[in-house]
Amino acid sequence: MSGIGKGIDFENVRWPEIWEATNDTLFMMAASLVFTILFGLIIGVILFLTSRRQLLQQPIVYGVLSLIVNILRSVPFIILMIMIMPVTKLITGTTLGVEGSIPPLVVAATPFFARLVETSLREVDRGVIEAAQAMGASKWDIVRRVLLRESRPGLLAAVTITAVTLVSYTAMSGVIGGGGLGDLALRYGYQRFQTDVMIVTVGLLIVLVQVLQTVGDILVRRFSRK
Amino acid sequence: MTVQKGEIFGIIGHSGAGKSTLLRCVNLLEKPTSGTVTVGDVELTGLSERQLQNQRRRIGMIFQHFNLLSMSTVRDNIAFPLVLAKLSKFEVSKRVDELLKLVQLEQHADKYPAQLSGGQKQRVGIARALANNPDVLLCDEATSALDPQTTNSILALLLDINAKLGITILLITHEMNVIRSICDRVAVIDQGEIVEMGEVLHVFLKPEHPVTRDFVAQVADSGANGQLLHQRTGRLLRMTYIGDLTYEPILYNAVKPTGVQFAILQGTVSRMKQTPYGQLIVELIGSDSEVESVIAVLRDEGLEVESI
Ligand SMILES: Nc1ncnc2c1ncn2[C@@H]1O[C@H](COP(=O)(O)OP(=O)(O)O)[C@@H](O)[C@H]1O
Ligand SMILES: [Mg+2]
Repeated sequence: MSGIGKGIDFENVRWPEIWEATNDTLFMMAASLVFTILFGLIIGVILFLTSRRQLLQQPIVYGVLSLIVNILRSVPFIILMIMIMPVTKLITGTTLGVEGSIPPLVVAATPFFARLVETSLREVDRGVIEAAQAMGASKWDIVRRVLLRESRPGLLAAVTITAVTLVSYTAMSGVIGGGGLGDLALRYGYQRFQTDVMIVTVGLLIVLVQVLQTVGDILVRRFSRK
Repeated sequence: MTVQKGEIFGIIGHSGAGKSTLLRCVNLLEKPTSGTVTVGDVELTGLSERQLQNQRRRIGMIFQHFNLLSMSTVRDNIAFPLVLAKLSKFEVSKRVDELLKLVQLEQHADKYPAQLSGGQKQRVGIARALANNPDVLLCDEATSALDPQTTNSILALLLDINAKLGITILLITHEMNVIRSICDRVAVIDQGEIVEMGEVLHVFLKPEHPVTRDFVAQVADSGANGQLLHQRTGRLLRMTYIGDLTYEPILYNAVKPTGVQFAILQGTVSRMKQTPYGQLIVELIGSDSEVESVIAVLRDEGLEVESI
């Protein structure tokens, strides 16, 4: 048995298992990111449009949607995951493994991302929206050709932050047997005191977050025109 | 209030007077609480949202802060209204090339707004506003964010567009200089009300409302020196020349046959849009009958003469 006192020789690390877990983490992150972007964009745009002094100003719709978003955001991920287990089972047929963790990940990340979208859209110059209206743009034209386009750097930054958040959520989903690096760290590192496995998995998570943030920053810079 | 087809109509007022609000009522970006808005022969206030969107393509608009799409190139900014109007790719690109040429931005087609100067951004704004061949161009303080030299080049472009394309221009400004340079008619707005309206030349030379007088004083090179005028003993006259008369030696010709002497106390000779004009305050020194005969000659020549 290895331990901190004896120095670390990585004797417990089974690399094929590590790679599989890394793959699982990447897949969970990517799949839930895709759904999160899809739902979050829609909800974020609706939040923005229905808010005060915007194109579709609808105080009641905004109020209700905003409340739901706030509630979902205030429940800690680990509890949310357990709370929505029946829904997860309904959608994927299981609450375990990679598939089982995607619904809770999406439910947790979507409200977060939607708020970031709303904030990015608020940054769009009102004058530009007005100019588009003066040119005869419909509301849909404005969403598609003005709002989403003008806020592109902000949206890319929002995707980056969300992707990083999802990585840490995937690690947490290990607690209920979600698979991936978090699962590995928990099962070997915590339950069997295999510190070397813990260090490798945490190291990989750090690398993953670094890569995501760097790529995100590069994209944001590439699309900034100011 | 009615703006004639093909004219350049200016609305001037202090900041907060309601100029933008009035202008935005024309394309219904602002919905008036009462009254109607008619552009050409279409009453916009009676249209559905969809119809209004179509009608807005006939009304171009440019803005003080340009309001360009910061994430799109000059070319894509100008193409924007054409894409909205669902023109084919080929037609869009052909029209954009024409417009780039019109506003002399061919070399900047692939730049982003942040890489342009203020004057260039406003040219993009103008090209974009003209893309769908509008009948009317609305200008909301289009030159207020520009330096004087750039202002003049933009005003020259607007004048050119009005002359070449026959587009009616409705502009608002707080600078009398803009009105004087290019407008045919002007309305003065104060606290949400039009307080004076007429030919620029007329309003300029005979301002009636106090707010109008303020604006006229902005561009007069010297304020009337009341002190000085009161000390004079001769007859004081305000003479107004308009058009070619401005450059004739009328005053000299009028006094020559008489023994009347004159002193020019104050004067302006300038140009309003294309029309030269001059306004002098002179003192005539001589016998009453001789002075009257000089005045009669001046009036005969077509000058406006007023005793003060
Ligand atoms: N006719 C009007 N009646 C009532 N309020 C008006 C009227 N015109 C303008 N306002 C108000 O006055 C304020 C300033 O108007 P704005 O058009 O922005 O002025 P400007 O462009 O001349 O600086 C706005 O809040 C507007 O709602
Ligand atoms: Mg204004």
